[in-house]
Amino acid sequence: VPVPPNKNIPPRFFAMKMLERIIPCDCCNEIILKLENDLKENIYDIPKKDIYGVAHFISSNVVKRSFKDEIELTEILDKFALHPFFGLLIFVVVIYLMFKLSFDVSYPISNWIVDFESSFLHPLVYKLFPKAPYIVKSFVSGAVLDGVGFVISFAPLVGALFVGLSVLELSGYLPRVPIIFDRFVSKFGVDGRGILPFMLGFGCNVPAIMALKILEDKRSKLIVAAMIPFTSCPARFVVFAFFGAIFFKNPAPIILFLYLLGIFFSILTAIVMNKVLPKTESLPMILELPPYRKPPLKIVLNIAFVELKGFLKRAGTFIFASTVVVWAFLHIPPNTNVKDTVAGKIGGALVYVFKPIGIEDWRATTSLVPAFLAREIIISSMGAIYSASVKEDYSNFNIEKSFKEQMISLEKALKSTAIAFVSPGFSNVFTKESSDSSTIKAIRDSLSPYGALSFMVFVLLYTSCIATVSILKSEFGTKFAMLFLTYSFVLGWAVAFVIYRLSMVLHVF
Amino acid sequence: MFFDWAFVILLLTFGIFYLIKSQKSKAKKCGKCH
Repeated sequence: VPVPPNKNIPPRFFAMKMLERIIPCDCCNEIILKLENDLKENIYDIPKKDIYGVAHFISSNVVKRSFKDEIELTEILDKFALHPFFGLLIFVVVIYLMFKLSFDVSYPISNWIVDFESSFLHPLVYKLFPKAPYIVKSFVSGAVLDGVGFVISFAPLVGALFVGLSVLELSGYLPRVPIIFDRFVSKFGVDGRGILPFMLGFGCNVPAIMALKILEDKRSKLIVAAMIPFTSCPARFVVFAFFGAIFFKNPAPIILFLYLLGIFFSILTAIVMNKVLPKTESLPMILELPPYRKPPLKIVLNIAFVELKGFLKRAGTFIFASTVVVWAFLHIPPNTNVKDTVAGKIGGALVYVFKPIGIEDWRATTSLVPAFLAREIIISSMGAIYSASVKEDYSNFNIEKSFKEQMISLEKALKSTAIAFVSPGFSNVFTKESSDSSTIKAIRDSLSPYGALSFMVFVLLYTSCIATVSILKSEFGTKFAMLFLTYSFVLGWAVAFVIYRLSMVLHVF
Repeated sequence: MFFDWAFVILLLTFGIFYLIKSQKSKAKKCGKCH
């Protein structure tokens, strides 16, 4: 008979695992068969019954459950949260508060990071390496600091957003949102089960399209696949936050409007496809809902940390590589006027396409090209492009004095964050003067608020990122992917045109 | 001038090479999961 390989393993436990056939034992087979015959039960069930029996005995004596209260509370809350009218209203208010809170909490720190890299790190590079070739200094300040630095400055916002999202998810509210939307979309021929992949699109469009495998009907798959790319993924959120903070005093309502606009065009696309595609019967949605509960802080912070780590890794690898390519095109040929470089000429040609929708600056149009790789690249590209066209004078820069100033402003930023955290939704972090960075100033001067809104609408709807297009191609074929690309580009341009003209006529800002 | 050209071309090659590589590995990963 085999003996335990280690003294720390109790012989009884070792024997049990041999009987369960987890530890191989040739001589145990006879004993197992005899036991099974005598007790007329499968050998796996015998120890489990004992274990579960003891566990149940302990838990019933030790654990106090408030399950009944939880169920009652859930039933009361669901009367409002799943109500056809109030449910939708609550959803809009909850999402608005989440945006507002994540903005208010993260904005002071994000603003400080931008200010730190433009007012301290930029001049520091020029001061420490005065004799380094201009092209190298331009690369560090343009591609690394203004490019990737701008994206990294949104790390607090991404963290705050995912804290908000995981609180909503773990509290049991987010799993109820598909039910609210099912009422609308099921009328347009969307299979009830398609709502789940659609909601996944708010996390990332790529896994959302992959999740369509749960649908059996090809018609429903196609309809939901065409809806998903209009949902605002966090990458778009970061771009909206960037523009919102530069051009608007309170960006939260603008971002909420863009989120709802995305949902509206998803539904509109579903209506069109429902009319075009031959009809089949759609299945109802059956969803098991968890009770409402207090979200565990540890899990909330863990989810936010994992997402933040992924965001920073992406910024340091994929987004950095893309920004390097944009920066290189801004310097071919080197030492010439930025407007005469390859990127400048491409952007200049694109101005004719985007002028009717209020995007008249070649630097803004150029940043839209690499955004096909990933949406956040708009920010890093803008940083690289605008900083290449702005000339700075760092002759009066003093390392010690500037560092002290930065530490004082960091203290102020942390205080503002703390105030925003304790008085959610009521702080006025956006009323103070925005960053003095010359690159930010140049971006603000190049577009009007109407043009900025039009830019954001276009970014929301136009041609999805390369990962989404490639997954559409592999799941539904090249023809569908190309058709969708054209459709979303035309739709994005047309909607941006209408919103740009309408907002100007109505004097919204 | 030669250094400027060399620096820009080197970075451009690195950037494009990395982007192609990352897209390929992403496609491979997606294939494995599904």
